[in-house]
Amino acid sequence: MSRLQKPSQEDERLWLEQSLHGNPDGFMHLIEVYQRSVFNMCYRMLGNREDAEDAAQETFLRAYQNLKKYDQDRSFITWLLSIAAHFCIDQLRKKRAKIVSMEDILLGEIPDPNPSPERVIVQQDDQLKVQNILQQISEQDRAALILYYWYEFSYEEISIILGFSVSAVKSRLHRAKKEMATLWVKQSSIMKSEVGRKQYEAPVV
Amino acid sequence: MRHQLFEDWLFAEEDLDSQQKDLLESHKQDCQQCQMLEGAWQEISQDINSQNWVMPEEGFSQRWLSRLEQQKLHDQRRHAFWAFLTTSSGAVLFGILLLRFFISNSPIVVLSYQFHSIMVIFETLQGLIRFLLTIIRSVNMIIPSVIGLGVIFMLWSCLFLGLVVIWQVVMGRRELYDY
Repeated sequence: MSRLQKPSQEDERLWLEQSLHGNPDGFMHLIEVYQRSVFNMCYRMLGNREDAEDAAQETFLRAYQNLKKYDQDRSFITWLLSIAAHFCIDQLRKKRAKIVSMEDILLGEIPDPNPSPERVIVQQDDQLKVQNILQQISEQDRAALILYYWYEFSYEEISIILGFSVSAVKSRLHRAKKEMATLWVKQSSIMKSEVGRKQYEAPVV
Repeated sequence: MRHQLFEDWLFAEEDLDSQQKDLLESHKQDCQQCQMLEGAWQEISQDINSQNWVMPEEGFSQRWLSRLEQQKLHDQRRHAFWAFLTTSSGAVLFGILLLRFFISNSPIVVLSYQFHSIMVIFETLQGLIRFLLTIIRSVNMIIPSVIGLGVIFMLWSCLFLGLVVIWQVVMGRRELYDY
């Protein structure tokens, strides 16, 4: 099931009409509904909360300023995510490498209500690993992967959001999956050898 | 068969046919690399599914509203700056002209000076046109008219192609932001 939040079509249309007539209150409702989706996209793309906040704010600002260009036959969330994805890709091109802060990632997650301590450590460790690996693949491959696996969009929807052909989306997903799996294997073997080294170096009591 | 092909099949987005599936299965039984990659991707996709969505901090929409106000203020200031710059430069130019008018004490002198400046510009342009015409005529005498026409056609084609390329680059850049 998709994790995307959506208001009723009537509500969305009403808020869009209000926004088009220069009333920001209507747009505030849209922000309330879609902030989570847009923020999550920016966070997965950029890897830290500070940049994600700035990108999400900028996404809504650009959307508000370009609302007249929005084609109402198209889904509003795909339009928003398209702006967010393009903005993040642009930012990443400007910055290129951004090191992910472990603190940022752990603070960002909403905790499971009943986790066992061991499970929490393993889960956080793996989630950190996924986020780290995600930051190592190309911006456009990353965007395609996020939209497919986190947002559960179809190839066609991703092709509309990112402006690629469907076959390009498929080949980007294929490449992204392969790269991520390879990086995962590499990181796991590094971690294993690190643990082995520490055990070997530890003093015998 | 090459190992690389099986790695590609392992992550293929298109459905594999039954023969490809069988070949992949039998390859995987002997290939540790493929087993590791497949296991890695399974772990990654499980982690993606278990991950919660990251939420912005409380008050996101209020922060957006104040950002919008700031942006509006910034735009107003920018417009005011350009309006000020344009009107003040116009006023300064007009002032200089008026000053010249009053200093010289004779409007005829100012007008004749202005007339002289315009004439100089016209003469310079005329000279430039004459120079270009002389070059074209001399080229025309050296090169036969058919080749000359060909050269002109090629130059125009290059110019047209250049404009098309610039247009494509500009439009391509615009499309990136034309959500």
